[in-house]
Amino acid sequence: MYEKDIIIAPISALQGGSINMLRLSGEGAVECADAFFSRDLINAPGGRFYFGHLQNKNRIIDDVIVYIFRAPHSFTGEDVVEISCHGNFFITEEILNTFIDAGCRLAEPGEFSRRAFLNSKMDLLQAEAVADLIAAKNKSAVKNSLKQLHGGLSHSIQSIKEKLIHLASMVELDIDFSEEEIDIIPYDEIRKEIEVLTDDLKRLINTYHTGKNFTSSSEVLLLGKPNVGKSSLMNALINRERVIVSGQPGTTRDHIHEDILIHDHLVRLIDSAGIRRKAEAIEKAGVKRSVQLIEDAVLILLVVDLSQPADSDDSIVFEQLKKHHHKIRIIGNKKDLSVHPDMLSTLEKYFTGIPVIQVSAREKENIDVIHDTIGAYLRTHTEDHEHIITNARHHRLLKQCVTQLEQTREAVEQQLGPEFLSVDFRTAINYLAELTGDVTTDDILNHIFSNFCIGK
Amino acid sequence: MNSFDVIVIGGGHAGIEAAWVCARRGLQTALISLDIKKIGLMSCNPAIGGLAKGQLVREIDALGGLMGRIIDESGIHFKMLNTSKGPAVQSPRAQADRGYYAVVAQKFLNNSANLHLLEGMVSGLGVRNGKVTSVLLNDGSEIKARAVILTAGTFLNGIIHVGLNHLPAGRAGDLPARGLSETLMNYGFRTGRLKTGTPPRIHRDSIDYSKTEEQKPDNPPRPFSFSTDRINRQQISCYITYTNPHTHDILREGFDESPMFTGRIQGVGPRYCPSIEDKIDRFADKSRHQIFLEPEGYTNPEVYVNGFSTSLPGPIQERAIRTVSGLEKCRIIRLGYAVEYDFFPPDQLYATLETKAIEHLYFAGQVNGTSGYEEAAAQGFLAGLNAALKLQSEEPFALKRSEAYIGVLIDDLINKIHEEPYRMFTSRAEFRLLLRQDNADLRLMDHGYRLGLVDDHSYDRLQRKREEIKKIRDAHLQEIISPATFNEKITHSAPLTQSQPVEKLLRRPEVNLVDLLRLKGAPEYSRDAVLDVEFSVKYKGYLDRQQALLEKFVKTEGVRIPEALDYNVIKALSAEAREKLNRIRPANLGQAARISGVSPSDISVLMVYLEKYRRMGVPRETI
Ligand SMILES: Cc1cc2nc3c(=O)[nH]c(=O)nc-3n(C[C@H](O)[C@H](O)[C@H](O)COP(=O)(O)OP(=O)(O)OC[C@H]3O[C@@H](n4cnc5c(N)ncnc54)[C@H](O)[C@@H]3O)c2cc1C
Ligand SMILES: Nc1nc2c(ncn2[C@@H]2O[C@H](COP(=O)(O)OP(=O)(O)OP(=O)(O)O)[C@@H](O)[C@H]2O)c(=O)[nH]1
Ligand SMILES: [Mg+2]
Repeated sequence: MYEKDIIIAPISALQGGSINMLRLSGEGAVECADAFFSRDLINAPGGRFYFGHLQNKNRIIDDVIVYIFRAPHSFTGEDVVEISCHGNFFITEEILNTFIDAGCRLAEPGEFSRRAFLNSKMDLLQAEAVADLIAAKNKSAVKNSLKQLHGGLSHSIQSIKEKLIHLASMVELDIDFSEEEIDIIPYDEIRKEIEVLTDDLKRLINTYHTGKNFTSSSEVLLLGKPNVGKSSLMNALINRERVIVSGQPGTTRDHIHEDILIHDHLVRLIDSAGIRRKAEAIEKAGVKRSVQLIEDAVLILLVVDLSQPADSDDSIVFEQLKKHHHKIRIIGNKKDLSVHPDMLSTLEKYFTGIPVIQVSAREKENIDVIHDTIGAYLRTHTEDHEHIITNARHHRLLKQCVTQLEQTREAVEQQLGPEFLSVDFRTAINYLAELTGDVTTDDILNHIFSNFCIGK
Repeated sequence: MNSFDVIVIGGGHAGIEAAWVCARRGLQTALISLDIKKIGLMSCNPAIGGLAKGQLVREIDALGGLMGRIIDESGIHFKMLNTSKGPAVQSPRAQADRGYYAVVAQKFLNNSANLHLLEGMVSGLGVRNGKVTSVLLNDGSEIKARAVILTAGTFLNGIIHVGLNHLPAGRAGDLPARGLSETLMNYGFRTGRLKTGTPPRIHRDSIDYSKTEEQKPDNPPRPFSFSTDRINRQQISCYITYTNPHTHDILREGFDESPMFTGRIQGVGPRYCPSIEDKIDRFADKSRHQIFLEPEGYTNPEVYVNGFSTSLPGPIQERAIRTVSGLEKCRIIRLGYAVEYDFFPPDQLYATLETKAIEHLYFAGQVNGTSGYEEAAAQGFLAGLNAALKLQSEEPFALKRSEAYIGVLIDDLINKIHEEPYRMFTSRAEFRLLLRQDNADLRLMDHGYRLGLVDDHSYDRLQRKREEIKKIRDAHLQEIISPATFNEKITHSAPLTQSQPVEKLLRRPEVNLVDLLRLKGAPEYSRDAVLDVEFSVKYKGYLDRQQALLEKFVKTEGVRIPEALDYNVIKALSAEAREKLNRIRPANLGQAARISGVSPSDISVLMVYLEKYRRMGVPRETI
């Protein structure tokens, strides 16, 4: 009764550093996996696992274990292949993308369970549970997608989409309102517009490839008064001299960020300007931005200088962070000097129950404890599993949009009529609409009605 | 007689088709209208067809409706639009002799067996056990009916406005219909208020045509109806002129007496059909607007000033229109005006156009919030047909979005929220490339024939067309054309270096099938058959894409949802989806997915429940 196409998705949440699992399900799933696996799977009996590696165009992606289930003896009741690969964000994503390029579809949230139910692999009593699961998973996917599209990216996509809607409208005008006195956009101009938009999209795709910006990492913020060693910690955490460090308070004037992988979580580590009462003008601007960073951060690492008693600048910071209690971990730096008991008791007063991780940025002591703390926090507070899916989904949609625009450009060059360009533009717009999650059915007509004087 | 199988209320374009179909299906049918001499009157523009609307007329005709035949007998200026573009977006349009159009319509109805035309005003309905049983006239009489189709147009509590003057009227010169909206509201129907307008009519002898551009009709005229062989009537021209900044200045003087701008008109008007005051207000930078001068007939001296719809005060209309080039001395015969009327938001209907609240009661036309004769006719036809089929215990008739513009129309009406009058545009059809005006017969005539609405003459013609198409495909597409022949005769395309089959050459945009067939000395085929083959070869890539989309579409469309499903028990649906689904009660999964506010996640949840109920084997009525 329903679709049988091959769907794919990661099925294990990413546990720190170990293994990720992806599932393919649908008619032809085994053949599909076989095309990228180093060993023959087509004749391989089901219910067993196979060691080998996945490769795409002679490039090895990863060593994997493949488990085959033949229909109907599987979770979904269809042919199923489960691939276990190394638990790394990028590898998982590459595997997903490889299969998507080969024609698989990303599973909708809860789709494996839905198929299992529709294929009578679950009994009737479970219908409600499956429906609840679908609803819950969709909710978190939507949340994730929005999170990933925050700020600049969603803005760029939205603006590309609007330009496409405008082009589509111009083309529609030429069809439905050809009797009106309206200047029709010359094909040459359409071609140029398409080229610009294609370039814009390609740039977005490239940022995605480098794993920056686009894969919207979890933001982890280093915060504290000046001179406590935030920049030193940043350098220690990324293991590189990225930020200038000096004994002069107020060295860091604006925030500096760096993306790193911590236990398979893509983390954007942000070093901020130290917060204090009497700050200079530029520094003030930096401090102001810190306030926004505090709001946005997934996790805040509050840095204090353990060797000093808490002073009024510390208090300003502590006050500000009190209401963010839930997302704070405290780093006591400079443990190599000495530990001042007043600092610990003040911290206990403000942040009851949050342990102080004692480290030394200078001696690189306990830096791995910070890594583990970040990893553990993100594991419980983000949904990386969905992250990868949304990423792969976004990537796929952007790529499809580009391919479509390239076809559209050809159609323009061949001087095909507006009714054909319209099909092309709509397809391209739909990819972006799917990405931003909004409905576009009547966007084009609305755009026409509100921007052009049409109608007799 | 005071009892009929079907009563149609209203003799507009919806009512005509509805009554015609019911009578053709053999049911005793009465059409009740305020003034039977005005049956088939065009309230506004004296033209049928146009972009997207032309496709609707062709579809109605292929199914066995009347509109195409009436206009073929009364048209005075036929024109195929968009001829510079491909066949998928060409549409026929014709100016009618307004008076004669109504005469022809009445002739068809008068000559139809089983059909009775009655004069009167319907002011209420008799309803028993949730079923309609009769209509009540304002003279106190009652006429029994097993089904009733309401097609009251702009008449329900109609008010017309000219400047700050207003009076109750269905349209200029007609009474409004009172009582009916109220009766229906008492049965729980929701109503809304819409507005539309019409331009002044001027005397044709008062126009200086030398200052206008002539717009000639096509020669020869191409008929709308698949049953019409040719049109021999004399054809007359339309003329084009423009407003200018002076015109706009004068119109602006009247803004503080505009019923629109002063807020007197509450109803929402269509943005795609703005009044002239709306245009100069919203697009102040445009220094001129196009005006079409359209004759209303051979003997009728009225000329319709298309593009100058207005409800400004009379003196302003008169001064403004006289600044338009060629109209300096024009005489206004009738002033422009706006009309406000009640409509029933169409989410209260099933896809058969039967109301959800009262069985055997159907709504069609402007009362459903649409605008336009063709949209009205299409609904009238469908409502009439379904009313008849239900009385005759046959399966309901529905068309998918992928099959016809009529399908798009009905689906949009019942599933979407409409904030302005609904009009068809080709861009509303996602399968536009498949829904051409020239293949309406190939798409739909089988239905019409099966239902007994299409005669043998037209159907034979369709069979011949199909044979021709097959012949062209089988006999000619693989024929080889040599460089010598090609290069000699077809000079506007790059020379051939080696022989190629017709099919391949046809992919070149500049090469057409007629020329290639001629090169091969093929027999003469009908133009539509050649066109059909050519289109399917030339644009195969696009058609394949539409086909793929279509298959996906048809799949979800095929998953039926039990009518009595209680969405309230499905907790996993979002609150909005639950509310909308309960209200609209979609017939299948595809329709559910198109309802605004129903997300893919909701559809996913719904799939699980449908499977659950299927496995439980719960009978449809009790879910
Ligand atoms: C002023 C005006 C401007 C318009 N402008 C446009 C436009 O710009 N563009 C456009 O596309 N369309 C326009 N139209 C709309 C077009 O005329 C209609 O869409 C079309 O005629 C609707 O057809 P219908 O069959 O629904 O109703 P109508 O053609 O309005 O016919 C209604 C019929 O119902 C009868 N009737 C009504 N109530 C009763 C009753 N209680 N008892 C008995 N009989 C009753 C009437 O006598 C009439 O015969 C305009 C209409 C008007 C009046
Ligand atoms: N002894 C000791 N000194 C440290 C340690 N970490 C940082 N320092 C010193 O503390 C001073 C300030 O370090 P930064 O990293 O610049 O401090 P910051 O918090 O970034 O300061 P601003 O950018 O001014 O807010 C430098 O002289 C560092 O060498 C540590 O663990 N032990
Ligand atoms: Mg610093």
